[in-house]
This record gives sequence, structure tokens and C-alpha cells, in this order.
Amino acid sequence: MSETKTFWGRINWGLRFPLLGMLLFWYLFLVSLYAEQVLTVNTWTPENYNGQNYVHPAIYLNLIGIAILVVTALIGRRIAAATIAVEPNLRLNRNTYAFTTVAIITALIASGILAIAVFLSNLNFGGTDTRDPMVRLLSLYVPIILDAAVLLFGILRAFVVKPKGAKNV
Amino acid sequence: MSKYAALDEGQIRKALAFGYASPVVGLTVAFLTGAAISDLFGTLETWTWFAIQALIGAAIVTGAHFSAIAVAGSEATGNKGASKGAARLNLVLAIIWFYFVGIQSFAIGAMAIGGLVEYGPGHPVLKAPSSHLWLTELLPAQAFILLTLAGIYFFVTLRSKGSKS
Repeated sequence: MSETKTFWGRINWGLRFPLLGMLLFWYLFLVSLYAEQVLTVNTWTPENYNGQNYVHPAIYLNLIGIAILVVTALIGRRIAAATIAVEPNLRLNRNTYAFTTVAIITALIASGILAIAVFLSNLNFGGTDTRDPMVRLLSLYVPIILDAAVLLFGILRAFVVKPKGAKNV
Repeated sequence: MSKYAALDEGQIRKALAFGYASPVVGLTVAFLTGAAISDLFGTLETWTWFAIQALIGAAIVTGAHFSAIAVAGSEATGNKGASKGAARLNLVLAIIWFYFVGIQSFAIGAMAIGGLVEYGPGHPVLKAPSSHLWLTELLPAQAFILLTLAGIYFFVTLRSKGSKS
């Protein structure tokens, strides 16, 4: 098969899926920032200027973005592995597979950064945090558990349960 | 059998030279252009940054394209060391570029959204995005992320030239 035909003639979904995931992640990141601004403006009082007594939707929007990034990279990886199984020597398939690995690692790093950010921004030094326990649960504990679940799922699906066509890559 | 396997020594050397030279020349031109614009106007607008990054990205993608041709051509001769070096150089530069431009798109987007709230002495106010904000921050931020994704797409596909099958 000619590489020119592969480049222009065939839709390479193994490559496009992670790219689409990255674009969605980027838009969700901006939406999360906007949601944060709306929350700040709508709940602002001189004593509560950063929406302290509310669950911040930005955490969950970023988490959804990272989950999309992980899942699209994994789908791209499966497609790339399947094409490798059919045409093992085609460089495009192997490079696409390598790119999906980079995409997954990027998603996992983003997931780690989110967990650290959630943890550090909710530390209760000196027991001065007077938030409702449910708000604290939904702002700190639940996001960290969900984030760890996404991280673990990504690692296991990408590096332990490898796609069939990718055994020799 | 790849069509690049039939390249002669001179053609392989030319592709290899372009593979090494393209990113270096592109980076140099981009840096000099940025320095000259900042000297002349005292600032680097977001769209100027976009042009600089697009130039660097195009140079790296071109370098990847030619180094892939050199690798495919030199497979027949068995002397792939220099060609693979060019391919690796472009790969490393591309990874740095992707992360740099990607992070820039997030930062510009965050600044644009941050500009929607007006903080004063009293209650903060959420403003509708002005045409100025659209043109100088929201649109460039989207252009940056699309540039990153297009750069990745073209880099991976053009780097794959010279298939063995």
C-alpha cells in the first residue's frame, strides 16, 4: 500500500480520536473557568468572596475533560493496534500507536495535577475550615476518589490490558 | 516496497540536509522575527506569537517529512545512522513545541475568561465578551489549540512516509 494513499486517502481515526479528545478537553477547561467566574460573581459577599461554601463545578468539569481525554486516547490506541495487526510494517500505524501512548501519558499527568490541585486547595490547616461537611466531601474526597479511578483505569487499559495487535510494538 | 527505496545517494543526502536544516532555520527565523517585532513595537501581540509558533511548527513538520524520506531511502543502503538522528531531532523538537503551544493555548484561554469578570471595590461583575476580547484573546486561544492539533496530525502522518509495506 502506498503511503501517499494512506495519508490522504484513508481517515486515520486512531490519530483523530485523541486529537478530538484534546479539543474537547480544552473547551471543557474554558467552560470550567467560566463556571468558576459565574459562581464567584453569584455567591460573592465580603466574607465569602471565593464561593467557599459551594461545591465548585470546575473540579467535575475538569474531571470529565480528563476522562474524555483518557477514553479517546484509549479508543485511538485500540484502532491503531487493530491496524497494526493488519499491516504490521506500515509506519503510519506504528507512529499513530506511539502517539496514542503520548496522549495517554499526557492525560494521566493532567489527572495527577488535578488531584494535587484539589488536595492542596482544600487543606484544612488549623481546623479553620467551617464548610458544610457535605460540601467538603463533594469538593475534596469524592473528586480525589473519582480522579484516582480515572487514573487507574487509564493505566490498566493502556499498559496492562494491551490491545491484541500491539504485542510487538 | 516504498518509492523512497529507489532514491540515489544524492537525493538521500539532500533530504537529510533538509531534515536537519529545516527546524534550525525555522527556529532562527522565528526568533529573529519575534525579536525584531518586539524591538520595533515594544510588544508581542497574541497574533504575532501565533505567527511565530506557526512558523516553528511548519519548520519542524517539514524537517520531519524530509528526515522520514531520508530514513526510508537509506534503508536500502543500510546506512541509517544520520537519517535516524535527523528524525529524532525533529521528534524531540516537535514534542517540546506541542507542549509549549498547547500550554500557551490554555494560558491565553484562561486569561480571556478571567477578563470577563470586572473586580471593583464592591460586588464583582460578569461582562459579556467584547469584540476586542474576542479578537485579541478568545480567537487566538482557539487558533493556538487548533494549531497544536494540526501540528500533531501533520507531524505524525508526514513522519510516516516511506512505509515498508
